Amino acid sequence: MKNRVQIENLERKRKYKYDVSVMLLILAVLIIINMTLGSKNFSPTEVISVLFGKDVPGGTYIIGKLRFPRTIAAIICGYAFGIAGNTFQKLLGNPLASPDIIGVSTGSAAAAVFGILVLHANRGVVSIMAIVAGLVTVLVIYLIAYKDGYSTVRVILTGIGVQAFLSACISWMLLRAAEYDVPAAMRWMAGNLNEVTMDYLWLVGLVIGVVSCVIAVLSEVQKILELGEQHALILGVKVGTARVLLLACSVVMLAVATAVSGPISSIAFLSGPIAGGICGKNRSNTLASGIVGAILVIGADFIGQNLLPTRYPVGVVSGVLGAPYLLYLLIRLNKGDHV
Amino acid sequence: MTTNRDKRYKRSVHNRVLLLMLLAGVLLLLVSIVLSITYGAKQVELTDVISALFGKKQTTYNVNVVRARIPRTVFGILAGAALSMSGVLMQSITRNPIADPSILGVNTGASLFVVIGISLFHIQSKPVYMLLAFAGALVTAFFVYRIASFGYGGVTPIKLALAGAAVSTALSSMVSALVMPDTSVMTTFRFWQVGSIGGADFEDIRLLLSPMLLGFVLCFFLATKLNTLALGDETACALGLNVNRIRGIAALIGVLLCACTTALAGPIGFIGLMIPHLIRSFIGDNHEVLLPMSALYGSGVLILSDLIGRILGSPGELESGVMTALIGVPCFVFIIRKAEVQSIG
Amino acid sequence: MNNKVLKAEKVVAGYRDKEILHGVNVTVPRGKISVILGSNGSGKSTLLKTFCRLLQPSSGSIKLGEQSLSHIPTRQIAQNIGLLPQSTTVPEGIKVSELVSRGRFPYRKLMAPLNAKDYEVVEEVMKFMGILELSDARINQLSGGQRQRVFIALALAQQTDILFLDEPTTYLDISYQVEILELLKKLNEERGTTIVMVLHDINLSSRYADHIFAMKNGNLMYQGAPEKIITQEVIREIYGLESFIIEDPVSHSPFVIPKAAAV
Repeated sequence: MKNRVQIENLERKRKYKYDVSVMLLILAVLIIINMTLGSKNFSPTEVISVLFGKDVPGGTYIIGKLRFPRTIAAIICGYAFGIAGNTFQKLLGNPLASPDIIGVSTGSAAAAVFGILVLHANRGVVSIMAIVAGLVTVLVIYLIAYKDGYSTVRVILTGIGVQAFLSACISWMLLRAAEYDVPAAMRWMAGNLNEVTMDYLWLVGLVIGVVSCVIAVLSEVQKILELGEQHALILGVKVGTARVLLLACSVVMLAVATAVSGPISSIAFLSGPIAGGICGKNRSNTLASGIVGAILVIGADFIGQNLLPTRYPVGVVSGVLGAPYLLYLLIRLNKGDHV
Repeated sequence: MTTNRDKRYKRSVHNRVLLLMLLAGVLLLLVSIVLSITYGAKQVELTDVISALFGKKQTTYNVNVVRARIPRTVFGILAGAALSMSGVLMQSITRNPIADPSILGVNTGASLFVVIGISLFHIQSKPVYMLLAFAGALVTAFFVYRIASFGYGGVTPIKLALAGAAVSTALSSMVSALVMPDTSVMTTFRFWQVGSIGGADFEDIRLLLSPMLLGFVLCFFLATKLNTLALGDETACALGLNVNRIRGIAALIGVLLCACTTALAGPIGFIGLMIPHLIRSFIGDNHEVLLPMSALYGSGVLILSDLIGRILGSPGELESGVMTALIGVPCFVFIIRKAEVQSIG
Repeated sequence: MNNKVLKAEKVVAGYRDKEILHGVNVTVPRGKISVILGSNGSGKSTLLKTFCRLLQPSSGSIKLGEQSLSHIPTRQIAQNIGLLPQSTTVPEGIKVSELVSRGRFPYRKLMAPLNAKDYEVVEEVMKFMGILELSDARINQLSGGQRQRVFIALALAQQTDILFLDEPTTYLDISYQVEILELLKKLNEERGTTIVMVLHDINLSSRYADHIFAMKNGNLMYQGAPEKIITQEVIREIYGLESFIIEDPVSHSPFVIPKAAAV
């Protein structure tokens, strides 16, 4: 005997699974496009034979060393940005409160720019600095905002203030740096997938996979937290612990992904709302936002590499494409009685 | 009888505080002007300063150094006053303790317009940059304000802050899109992106003087009306104030003042945020005193931070935009922690 | 776990450095409807919040049976004490049945989907609150009264013996106020749920309450049946209000007619 509520619920789940499958399909198509087309085109069979270790003239290097790591990195980073952004937005109860807007990524950027311009560090060191700085920035924002308890509004406002400060520091470092170093720093800040190699991507993928599982496990708790602090307490959630855990997981994903690609703008901001628009806003959408993020990054990177007169870093493309949507969302959000 | 005497007593205390603040402010301004002209990366003798100021036809190296410092000091006075008055206006029309012209995305808007000018139209002349920055600042500020005012509850602090941040994010990716492919654009642009009052010369100041003075004058006419507005929209309306018009005019003047500064100096943040707060905590919310007092202290603090930047950064300089951020962020944090969450939410 | 008595022992609580409750002793009468009355700032909401552990007492303790609340696992408390908070947050786009289902959280294991029992309870409480027909509607499409019923259903899905409500009728039209209070009365009569609420309306309190707590300045002044508490003297002391007391023609409970504020 199934009752009404149960039938409705199963119906919703079925729809969610269908939506997610369609998204996965789109992702798969994009992966194939990204692997086969480009400065030189290959057939899917050639691509597959390269991936299985066979030697294809001209293809082994381009596919094996360039396109494959690039595609994997795009998927991993997009997935991480998408999930982290979505979790931030849901936890802070405000679709505008994504990590790139409230200044979490700026911490990583400031450290990376410092590493590139002042220390002339190599990419590995810069990445580690970015991870550490990202984590520290969030901690600082949280500590500043924490006074007689936690307040979402204070977290958001503090984030914006910290961001303003770090941006001033970045501009200053750029101004002081030698002219030939500046482009590297600017490229890093825009977010790009050049020079990624498989050496460390496995590790990055593993970390992000594990952390995203933790977030997924906590998705029920996350849904309860959306009811507000009081309700969550009444329903038996340890609010402080749960919130810190979820935020920490998102920040780790964010920092690690940023270390690989730099802050790819708009992805964290857009994935959650897009996933919500497709699957309905009434669920946690963790997986869906991850997939949307991956789709966006792969798509933007393909456009930036192949479809524009100059090669643009993926972050510039995603930022420019995302801008109108961001503004649209902003207007719509404020028009509804939300925020 | 007693209540009357109490009142009188309180008023006299208040007046004394005002007088003290005024004296201290004037002193601060004078001292910082003198210091700003005398000190810097290069030390000069007092006699050189005097001969530079009083126009003896000497043209030693030191005299020229001093002469070069004069326009930046003059501009510092104007810019500091403009920024902090603009901050007062923004804060009072939005009833928002963290409103600051730079939070409205004014700077990014100005940047975008300047970059468009550099990269698409290959503009090289400074007055045109200034015009572009001015237009960009104006357009963006209104856009952000408009977005934030949609919907429930009007312009709430959090809506405004987020709208500003989001618009900034959007615009800055457009800026990078334009800057990225061309190194020469990047080189030109990065000098503009850090706010500094160092680049001012009398030519530029003359250009901006009239809109700024206009802004200052209009501000004082608005003061009483802003006091009424502070009672809340409904009460103000009941008292016969055209709330929307006053708010619109105040916003226009606020952005005008800020845009003038940004056009010449680039983004200088936080002055507009912290000065009004500081002053308000001493003398209260009366705009008739708050506005001039903020202007006075704004000038002093900006010149002083410029000076500190010059000394700390010597042989070069630490741009004033960076200095004000360094000083301003702790203030910002303090304000956020002090303000009741309800009042900012 | 059933049938444990909830009581506050010498509870001192407040916000930051402002103490609001100054050592309150309250035993919640089991199986009854209790109403906490008092003027603004008398500490009635604070008392409610302390009972629901939204606020930690700075001294004294809240006990469920013999155990202090701070020693009971939070999920277990959630199976015993429910609350309808004064203000509620509605997640965007959520449907009625989904919101009510969230009340099952204290009974669920991590990762496990809703089980048959959960569905049964959710459907049953929605039927009880008369919102089963709305099950697929979005919360923001509902009227104020319907919305309040949804949130009460959420609290009911929690299946607690004790239910607290913080001003459940505020902002509702008079007809909805009565409707909500009638539903709560039915809940109390049919299931024996202990109900404790803060109400502003003395006359509705007098009509629906079995027991009244009268508070002033963070202390419990009087408690007992409405007939004993709603008197000229108590009203004057608690609210500073001169009044006539007449009999409510419907429920025969005391009915307050205000005269003028006492000077």
